[in-house]
Amino acid sequence: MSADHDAELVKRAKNGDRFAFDALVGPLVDHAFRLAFGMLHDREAAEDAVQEASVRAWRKLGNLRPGTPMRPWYLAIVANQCRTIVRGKWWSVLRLEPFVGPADRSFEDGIVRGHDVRAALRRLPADQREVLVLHYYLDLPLHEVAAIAGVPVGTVKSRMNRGIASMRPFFRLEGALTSWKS
Amino acid sequence: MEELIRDRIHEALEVERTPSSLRARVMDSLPVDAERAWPRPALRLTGQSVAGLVAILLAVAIIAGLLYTRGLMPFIPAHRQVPLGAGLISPDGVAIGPDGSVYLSDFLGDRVFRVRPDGRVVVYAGGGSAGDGQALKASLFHPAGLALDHEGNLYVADTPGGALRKVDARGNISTVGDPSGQPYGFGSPQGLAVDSHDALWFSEGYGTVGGIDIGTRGARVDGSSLPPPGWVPGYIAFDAADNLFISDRAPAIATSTIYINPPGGGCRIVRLSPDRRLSVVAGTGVCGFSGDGGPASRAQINDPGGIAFDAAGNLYFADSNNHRIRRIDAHGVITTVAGTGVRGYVDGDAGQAQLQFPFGVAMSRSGRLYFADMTCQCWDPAAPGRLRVLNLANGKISTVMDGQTPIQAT
Repeated sequence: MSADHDAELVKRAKNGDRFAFDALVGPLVDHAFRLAFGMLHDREAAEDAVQEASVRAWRKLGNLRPGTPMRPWYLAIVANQCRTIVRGKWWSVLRLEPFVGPADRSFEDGIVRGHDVRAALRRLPADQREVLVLHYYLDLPLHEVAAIAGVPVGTVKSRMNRGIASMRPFFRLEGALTSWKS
Repeated sequence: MEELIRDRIHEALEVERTPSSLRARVMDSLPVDAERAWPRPALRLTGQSVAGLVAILLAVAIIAGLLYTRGLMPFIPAHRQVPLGAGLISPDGVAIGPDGSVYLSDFLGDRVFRVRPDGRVVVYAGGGSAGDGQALKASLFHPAGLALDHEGNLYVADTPGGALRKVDARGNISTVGDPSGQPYGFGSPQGLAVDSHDALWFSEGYGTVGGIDIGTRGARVDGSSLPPPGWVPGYIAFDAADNLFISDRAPAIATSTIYINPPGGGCRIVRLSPDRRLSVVAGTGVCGFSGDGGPASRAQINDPGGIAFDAAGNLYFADSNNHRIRRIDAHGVITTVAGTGVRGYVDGDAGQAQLQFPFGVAMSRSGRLYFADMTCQCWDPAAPGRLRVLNLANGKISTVMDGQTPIQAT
């Protein structure tokens, strides 16, 4: 999609053309959901965050300066929405497996709780989690991550390094297992 | 390393795909106004309607306040300032410290007692009027569940206050919250338990169970997948394999006195396994007494309270409205280990002993099951409860503390 075409869509959307807004934001909803899920680790909360962020984007479209690329602008609003949710709501809903009926078996059946990458990611501070998700999950270049997070590229790198350092023991273990399996 | 991180994060997060309907949902939610103004509130408040609303709210607040200060509020006994030297009133939650100290919450007395290994009883927290700071100067509000983590911190459920408090080993109390100090809010927290990773788990009287990794985030579980009649989670405990056992209390109709449980409640013991599956370990969903010698899942129990495990993995729980302590062994067979079913106060052989609404329980390393005997569920200082202990080695019950037990200064 050319810059001219985008500029035309933005102009039409600013005038209240919902189809133009759909053409601009619709293709980014997948990125937005993945970012929100990576930040919030809760499907319903992520859907709500994307919906709310999209409404905010629709309302703030008048502030979008000509020539500003749509993707970092929109994802920054999504990220901001997620940060607000992370700050305001300390709990999420733990989804359960289907009910299994009476437990006639021994209750010492020793299912061991495992720590996966998702749990490790969830334990990171939100700012570190955000840049890791944007760069490694959405595969965005660092300059775009910086634009979305609203910080310089150097800050993005240091946040990423701190996040990776916190998760390094896990990645090493996983790496060892991967190489052993292969 | 870069590729490994990318692969692992993709693998971890791709468990949830973008819903195909999300794009349409987003577009449907856009405001229709071309100017994209904030929507106006549907209700327009005039000066007259605001004044009416304020008057109604004031009247409700005054009536509730009057009822509450006179102890007439049906669901929560009134908050009373109890003199520091006064004895135990209404024992509720029990926990055992690493040194063998027994911690006991006094629901109406608004304190937590500590029974030292030498038998002396001291106030450990509460009884004051301050907030966070020194535990002995702090105000607690109807403390219920207790739990200790592996560093010796004692967590207290401040039930109507909707807060969890932490008393560290140096005697300082704080409110559990996020790293910035913002307290987490809870809905009538009751049961507390700490898992093997030191995550603090809680139950809330209105149907949820959740866990918190202190300093990070928490999660809540709702029991909507359980068969009817829903659940009212009470006290909780972990076994050695990190299965969480939850007392599903009796519904309102089955409790006899002042405290009214929320609706629902199936008189069951429910297990939440580490792989997030709920199952019923004991109880049929109908409150009553039956099933000793058979499978616990086909037995009736009545308003289960605290849960504890012995070294062999047998589960003990207070079958409160049946005035019994019951056990479920590793094969799922339920038996009564103390109490005759007749409400009363008789120590001695567990088979002949009489209990009165046993509730919180905790197991010591030496196989002593401490339990709070509430006496009447009436939270009346004239009928104080007791802390009693069942010695599993000899099957004898004795009283550790009652309303007359002197409270030492230190």
